[in-house]
Amino acid sequence: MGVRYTSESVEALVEEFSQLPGIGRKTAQRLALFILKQPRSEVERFSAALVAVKEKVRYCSGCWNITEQDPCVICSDPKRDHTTICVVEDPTDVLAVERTNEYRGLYHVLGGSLAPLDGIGPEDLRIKELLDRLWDGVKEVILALNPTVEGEATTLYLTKLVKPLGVAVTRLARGIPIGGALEYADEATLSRALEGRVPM
Amino acid sequence: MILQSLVLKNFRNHRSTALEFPAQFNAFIGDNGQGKTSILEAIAYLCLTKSFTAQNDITVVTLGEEEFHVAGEFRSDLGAPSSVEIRYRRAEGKKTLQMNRTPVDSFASFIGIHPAVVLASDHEQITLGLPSARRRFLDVLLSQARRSYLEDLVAYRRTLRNRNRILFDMRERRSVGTELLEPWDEQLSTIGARIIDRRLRFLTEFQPYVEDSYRQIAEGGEHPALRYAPSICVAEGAPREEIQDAFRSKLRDGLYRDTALGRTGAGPHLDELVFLLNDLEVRQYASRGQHKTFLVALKVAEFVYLRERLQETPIVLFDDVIVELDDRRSKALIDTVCSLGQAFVTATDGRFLEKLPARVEMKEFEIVNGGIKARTVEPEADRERA
Repeated sequence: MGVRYTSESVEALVEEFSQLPGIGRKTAQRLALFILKQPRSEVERFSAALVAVKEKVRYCSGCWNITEQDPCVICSDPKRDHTTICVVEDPTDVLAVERTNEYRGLYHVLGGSLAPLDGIGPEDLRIKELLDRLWDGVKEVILALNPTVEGEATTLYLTKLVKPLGVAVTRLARGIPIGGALEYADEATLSRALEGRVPM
Repeated sequence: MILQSLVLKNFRNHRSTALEFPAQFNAFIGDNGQGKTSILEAIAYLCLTKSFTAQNDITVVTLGEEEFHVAGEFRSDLGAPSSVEIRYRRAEGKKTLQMNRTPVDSFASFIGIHPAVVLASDHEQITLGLPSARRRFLDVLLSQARRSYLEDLVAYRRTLRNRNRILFDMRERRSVGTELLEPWDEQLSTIGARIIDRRLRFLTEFQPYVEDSYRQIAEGGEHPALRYAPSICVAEGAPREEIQDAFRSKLRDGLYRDTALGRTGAGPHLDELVFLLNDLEVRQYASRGQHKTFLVALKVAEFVYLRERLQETPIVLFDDVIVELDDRRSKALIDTVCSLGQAFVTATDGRFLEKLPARVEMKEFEIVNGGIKARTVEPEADRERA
């Protein structure tokens, strides 16, 4: 048991901070002391921001991305290609794909991947919601899940469900990173890149 | 690869120990329970990210302390320096690894950079014990030789645990909905086929190394051989696709049994590696002496194979084994290892050091309850005077 502060409120704040992902007890203590030194107005703004995300943010009824308006700005944008849906695990993945400025279609956020070890089955993901969207003129589903065994299993599972509906199913290519020299690529990456080679 | 220095903090009974290794041959002499093996264990952590004795990292932390810390400075065969640091915190229950002061996220990309060959007393299980001991020998060797093998192994184990969980759930709910299993079967057979294929090709490659080292150690015409006995029927020289198909249909055929047992009954996690001497299985027919010879031959072969494959000389860790070997076997071991690489050896009795070739530079560490006294023996001239 570590040394405790003489204030219960500081202790409670440290406890709250250390619940956050990636924050250990030491960092939590540093953050709590930082808050203590901040002017009251700053702290109020911070706590208001915390409450606001819970009050204002919800899930888009189309793509299940986080949004403040429903449907979200992407789903309601008429300039985007509504016949292509890119399936990702989490909202952060939407940001990653958006940053490319290449993709003009819509998204579908599954909310994770099939992970029996964590007790996550198809009913815990927004798979039914995805299938419901496919009747409406969708031509292609791009599976952009993480290259983990769980992501891979989800990709295979979704392929099996979506393909019979007559919708084209594609997945992200795996291979050599841009700017990476061939000689430094590891064997696994290189052999997958060879397997997924494309005709010129 | 040479380990130049080592620092241990709260590592078993070493509260704070710093050692320098200028010599090729480093002997740790002391009674049982004084902390000799811990030093080899710490070196294993730096090279392989884990212990060869402890099942759990937590048991390695000194009682009453929060974390252990091991750091080492290495120099490669070509003279390039590198530093490795490993830390384990009780509270977080996990290890963090740094190489050249940069965090390493993928342990698979790290293993094999500082290759090591370990021979500890419970390694006699490799020839005597259950198939799992032989699979572990194969997996540790291949993981150091090929990064993609270790990546596959990690992915395979995770896939297997996921599949077994579904099987378990199916049994508990007594329903059979195979559509949930399919994506895992597909992956298990894809990755599993790669592992089997790699093991088969490796054994063909490794066989001559074992023959060579066995010949050095044993007199007479005994012929050692290694055979892979997979739990899935595959024809010799079958391409990977064929192995995968066989694996996939084995999973399908075994579904009823797998569901009843709640676990997967076939695959590389159950395959057997068979050692033979003149076509007779070592495990069943070999004498005590033949077992030891076979084990030493495997370890010498491992050393030579890794050295050629990685273009880097492995560090050698021998825990309490040299004394148990008779003269001829220990001489073969010491000759091969000392003429090529750096060795760390523990023993309760320092008398075996007299058998070392005179040209070997040696440092002797006397260990008493985590405390250390060092004595360097220069090659040749000094040894003769002593």
